[in-house]
Formats: sequence, structure tokens, C-alpha cells
Amino acid sequence: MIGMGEGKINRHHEWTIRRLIGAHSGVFMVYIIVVVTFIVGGLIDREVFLFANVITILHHMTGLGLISVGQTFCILAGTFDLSVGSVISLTSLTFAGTIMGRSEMILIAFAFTFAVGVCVGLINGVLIAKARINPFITTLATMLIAQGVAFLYHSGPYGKITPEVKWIGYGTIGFLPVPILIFITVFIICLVVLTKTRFGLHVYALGGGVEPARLSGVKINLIRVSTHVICSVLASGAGVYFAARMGTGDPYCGVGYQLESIAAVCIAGTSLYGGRGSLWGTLGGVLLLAMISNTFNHLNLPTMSQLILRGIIIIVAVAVYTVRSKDFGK
Amino acid sequence: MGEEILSMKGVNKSFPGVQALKEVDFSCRQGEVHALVGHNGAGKSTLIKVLGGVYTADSGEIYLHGKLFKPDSPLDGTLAGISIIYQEFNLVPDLSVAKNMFLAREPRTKLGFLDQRSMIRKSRQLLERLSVENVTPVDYIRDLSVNQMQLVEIAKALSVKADIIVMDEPTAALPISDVQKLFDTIHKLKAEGVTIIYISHRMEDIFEVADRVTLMKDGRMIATLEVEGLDHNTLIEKMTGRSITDFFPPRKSYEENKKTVFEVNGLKSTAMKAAVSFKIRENEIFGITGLEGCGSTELARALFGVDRIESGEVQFKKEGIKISTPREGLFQGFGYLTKDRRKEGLLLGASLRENIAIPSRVKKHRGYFLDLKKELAQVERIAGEMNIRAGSLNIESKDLSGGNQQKVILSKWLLTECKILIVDEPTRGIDVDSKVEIYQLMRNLVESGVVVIVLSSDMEEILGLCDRILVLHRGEPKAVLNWEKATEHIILLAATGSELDQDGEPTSKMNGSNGERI
Repeated sequence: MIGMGEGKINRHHEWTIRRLIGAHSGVFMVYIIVVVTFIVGGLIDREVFLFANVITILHHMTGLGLISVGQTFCILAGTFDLSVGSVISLTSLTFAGTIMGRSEMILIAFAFTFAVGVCVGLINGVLIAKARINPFITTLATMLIAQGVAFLYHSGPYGKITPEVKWIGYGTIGFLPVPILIFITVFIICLVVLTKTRFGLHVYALGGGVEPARLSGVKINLIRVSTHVICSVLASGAGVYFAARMGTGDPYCGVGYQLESIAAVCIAGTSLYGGRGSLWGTLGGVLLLAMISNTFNHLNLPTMSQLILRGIIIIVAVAVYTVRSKDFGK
Repeated sequence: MGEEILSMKGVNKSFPGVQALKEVDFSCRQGEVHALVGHNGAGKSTLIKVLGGVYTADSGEIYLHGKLFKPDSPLDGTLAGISIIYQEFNLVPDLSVAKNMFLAREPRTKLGFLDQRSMIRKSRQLLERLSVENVTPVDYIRDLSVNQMQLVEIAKALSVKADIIVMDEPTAALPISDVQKLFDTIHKLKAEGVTIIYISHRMEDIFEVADRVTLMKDGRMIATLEVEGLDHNTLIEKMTGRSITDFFPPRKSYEENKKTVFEVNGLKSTAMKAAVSFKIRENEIFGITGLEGCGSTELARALFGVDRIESGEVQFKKEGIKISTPREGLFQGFGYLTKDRRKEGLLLGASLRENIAIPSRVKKHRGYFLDLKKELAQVERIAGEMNIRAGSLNIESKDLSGGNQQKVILSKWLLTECKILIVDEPTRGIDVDSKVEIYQLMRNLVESGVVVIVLSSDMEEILGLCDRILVLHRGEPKAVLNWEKATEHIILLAATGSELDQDGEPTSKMNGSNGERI
């Protein structure tokens, strides 16, 4: 009996270590790469280490961070959303365009902007869940449509924000910029939702296996639609943030974010097929991408080498944990 | 025996083109193990899916505890105390045991958050109640063995206080060493008053655990019989209209001096735990068996070139063959029916015709354009010979029954004119008729000079079909037995690691052999 007891303890112990390193090796790896990038950047250019620069990096994170957190919901549930970039462009325009420098319009602008997000999310979710159209096709189509509507709304920068709104993009509370605080709040709420609630568990369950989830009684259509609504709403939030930063809406401002957000989610090992991964990984991925652009800017690298290096770093990060993880070669 | 707990009356269910259930009456008593048998397509799965709320019946009534029960969703079934354990399991691999057990019924704290502690505590209690070893509530499902997953499923069923647990082919995926553990669990549940509906193709299972057995055929219920007093033969005859002696094709008596046609010397791949050598003589079906983890699948993969070879050599008709990729395996005349036909054997979304034709295209086709007409003729011929029962060759292979899927895979290898055919669990989870046909095919193949290697954990199959049997234990060959000497007892001894002498007798002293040939 004593022997058995020991076995149990050992096994449990083993599990803890495996859980920390094995199951989350991608997350660890990303944070290690973040630190390495930071130190290497700092050694080459001391300015990287400056407090002001750290704040700049965090600033960089906000836009991509909001989108990627939303994207994480979709990816964990087994789909993804290509329309986020267009939603950002569109909502930056609707937000700034509705305000047009009038303070009394702010609340209406918020309501309108988030309504746009909810609509796009509902359309994506219902098409995927009910009409069973492949997520790639669905969100590719809504990406085109939303981008088209944005151009229809205005073909160039449009709208004007007010000083109150500017505070969202530039204000500080203490020494911390407001956008970062907003991002941290959103992150914590989403983290709690994903790890501590029934809804979060069902998101993981759906991504891990549609059939088992359905047969266990998980309302899979509801989860599908909800994840897409969350994703689009957070993208609208990013649209508001960009409008607040630029002082105006811009039909081009979201271009490219759809793929960057997917990269940020998956870089730390969150499975593109769903069911596996965490928001911590997404945070690491966002941090890494923000860090890379910041460091590259300090190093004055031309855009083309930045792109190439980014690509290489993404591959290296993903390859390192894939080779390390035990599933490799299975 | 207890009172009637469930009764289904006049249940009809049709799908486009098929009437899956025709006026089915089915009832269960509390605390009994009720076996449900019949061919694939007989309607067993449909019946339990209607019971569990996955499908809605077109007509007919279900009474549970004497009250009308109309499930609309799987959750209704679960909440009414009916748990179904599907063959392909109903667990999310990336979630922990505890989370799987309470999925969609999670306990919550006052604030509405998941009550993880209570989930873990309750699932630990359930695992303990079933005496599950080496599984903790925080383990991920993906890290568990098949047996452990099954126990988790049973624990999950108990977590909703299920009165009725339906088990669909529970022993099909289990290694023999774990089957007894499952039976122990079933007896335990029965003693606690749980009713079990037990679906199986395996006769031994029914005699081991069932109190009553219901036979189904073509969507109809044929008969319900008490198992006590029933014998093996009667049941099989009732089921198939065949007697057990017709099950396996007849064998010739063992001859000492036959020519060796296929030889493996010290073969070891990166996945194998030990080097293996054996010889196969002409016109014999060579069986390889052992308990789970015995390494037979790894051996087959090494032969076919799936895993990397570290050492050893393979000879066919005195000529050395070297294979390092499956493509080379194909070209050297190997055919390989894998254990998991859905994952490794078939292109599920492709038509039956494509599935059959592809390896031959790879092997034989030269030039730029395919002669589809000629190919179709060949596919039709082989599908006819193999008696594949499908409406058309254009049906997607995922829509076929297990037996027909297996025949499709065999057809594709036969069409390549393979010289060495390796089959891993060839009849797992398929209906009796297809089984008999596949056994006969194996016999015909060896008669025509093809080397057939059968990997199986089904003792009846190994003893009834194979001429010589290699027994592996943790990757090491323990014995090679000829069929006249092999018994279940001896095989199990070897499979659990006992050393046997040349006659297949254990080297350690033992009092006679209790094993009987089935």
C-alpha cells in the first residue's frame, strides 16, 4: 500500500512538471524569445532599455493585443476570423465619422461602432455554425464585404475625434497609458472567462472535439456564434483605439491585422485546429511581435529586412516548440 | 431480477433511402446486462441513438420507469439517466478527465464560476469507486490508454447517476489483458443496480456478461433470449444462420518440412523495443499476437517501411528486400491493412472507387494520362469479387459499414497484386458475415501463394484462422506455435512473458495444459 501511495505522489508530481513545461512549452519558449529579443536589442541600442521605450512597446501591443485576444476565442473554438482587419478599418471610420468633433455624439458613436462589430460577428458566426460554411471562406467573404463597405463609407481618412476620445489613445493614469490599462483589463476579463467559466470550458471542448462536445450537451452553435461576436467586438474596440490614436478614421488602418493576429495566437503553440492553447500564449505572441517591430525600428532596419526577419522569427519560434513537444513525428 | 425499467415500443426510424428501424420493441429490466447483437446495419446503433436523444424516432414510444420519455437532445437522454458510451468515445482529448466528466453539467460556485475543486473531488471519488488505477482527475484524456478512456466514460456515466448505461462494442478496442477488467467493472455496476445495454459482435463477451440477449436484423428485432441455458452454437446460428464450424475455413494438418518463403532476421526499427526474427512457410497464414504493447503493429510498420529500420534483413523467396518508405513497400509487393481503418486505411472523403484505385495507380501507372475506363473495369471486378455491398462505387468511403470499409482496403491491396499482405486486426468491429468472407479470402490468398501475416488480439481469430502463431511480449518474440499445438492458455502464457520450449510448452514446470482450443 505504501508503495502505491508513493506511486501516486510521484505521478502527481510528474504531472505538475509536465503541465508546467511540457504542455505549455510553446508559451515558455515565446517568453524566452521575448526576453532574448529585448536584451539583444538593448545591447545593440541602449535606448531599447529606457522606461519610455518599454511604454512604447506596451503601446504597440494594445491594438494587436485586443484583436488577438478576440482571435484566441475563435481559434480555441476551432475556427478563425479573417475579417478582423476590415472590421478595424470600418469601425475606425464609423467611430470617428459619427463623432465628427462633437462631444455629444461620443456615446452614440460607441454604440454604433460596437453594433457594427456585433453584426459582423453574428453574420460570421451564423454562417459558420448554421449554414456550415467553412470559416476560411465565410470570414474571407465578410473581410471583403466589410472592407468594401469601409471604402464606400469613405475612400480615405475621415472623421474627427474630440479631446475626450483622444484621452483613450494618449491619456495616462499615474505613469501607465490608458490604452495599456484598457488592454490589461480586457485581457484579465477574457482570461477569467476562458479559464474559470462554463462558457470558457465549452469553447475549449468545442475546439477539442465537435462531436464529443455536442453529444455531451454543449450548445455548439451558441458557442460558435458567441466566439465570433466576441472576436468582432474586440476588433471594433481596436478600431476605436486606432481612431483615438490617429485622430481620425482610416479605411486602411486595419489591413494586415487578420494574419498578424492569427500569428500572434499561434506563435506560442495554440493549435490552429482548436482546443489547445491559452491566452497567456497569445499575450506572449503579441509581446513578441510588438517587441520585434520596436527593436527593428531602433535598429533602423529597412521594411523589407524587417518583414524577412519577422517571418524567420515566427518560423523559429514555432519550430522550436514543435520539435521539443512530444507529439513531434507522431 | 428487477422490474422493467425501459421499454421501447413500435419504434420506427428512417433515413433518406433506408428504413433503419422497423417497429422495434425492446425492453430492459433493472439491473440486468442486456446484450444487443446483430450485423452492422442491423439497426443497433440507431436504436441506442434514438434512446439517447441523438436521433428522434419517426414513430413509436419510449417508456422510462413506466413514464413516457421523449428525448430531443443528447442532454435530455443524459439527464434522464441514460448514458451512452460510444465505440469511438465521447471525450475531448485536450481536456482533463474531470472536465470531461462534467462537460455541460459543470458544478458552479455561487459566483457562477466553474467549481473546479468540486469537479476534481467528485471525479476522484468516481474513479475510486470504479477502482481505476493510474488516472487522476487532472490528467489529459489524450495521455490515457484506450482502457483508461473507457473507464473514464463509465465514470462519466456514473456521474449523472445513470440508471442505464449503453456500451457500444466496448471490447472492440480493448487489448485482451483489459477485457477482464471491463467485465469486472460491469459486474460491479450490475451489483449496484445499474442496467447495462451491451452491444457487441463478440460471442464470448455475451456469454461472459449478459443476462439476456436481443437479436436484431435489418432494422427488426428478431428475438430476446435468456443467456442462461443458451449455447454458443445456437446463438450464432440464430444470428447468422451459420454454425460456428463454418466460421473459419478448414486447415490442413501441420507439416514439418515446408519451404520457407518469407524470412525476417533480426529486424528492428526505431519504434520497436527488440529485434524480431521469424520465418513464414509456403501456403500458411502466419499470425502474430500478444497483449497490448506487444509491438506487433510496430513490427508491421517496420516491414512496410513506415518506421525507420535500424538493423536486420527481410527475404522473400531467398531474395533480400530493402524497404525504407511505404512507397518502396508498395513497389516491393507489400500490402498493409492498418489497425485503424478510418485514420490510416481510408481516404474517408474520397469515393470507394478512388480508394481502391490509388495504390495501383501509384504502382502500375506509367505515362501521363490515366486510363480511367480500364481502371474502372478493374475496380468493378475486384469490388464484385470482394462482395462489397454499396449502392455505387462513387459513395464516399466514410459512409460504408465497417465490414465494407475493410473490404475496400483489402481490395485496394489485392488490385496492386501484392505478394505479401499484412493485416492488422482485420475483423475488429465488423459484422459476422464480412468476417467469414475475410477469413475465407485469407485462406484463398495463401493457397495462391501470397504471404499473409495476420496481426490480431482476438484469440478466437488467432486460434481459428492462423496456421502458425508468433507470440510477442513487450516487443520480444516469445514463441512460435503451430496451430495444432496452440491453445489460448499457452498463448497467454507466452504473451505475458513466460519462456516456452520448442513444443510450445512452458519451460517452467506446470501441471498439464488447461487451455482448450476454441
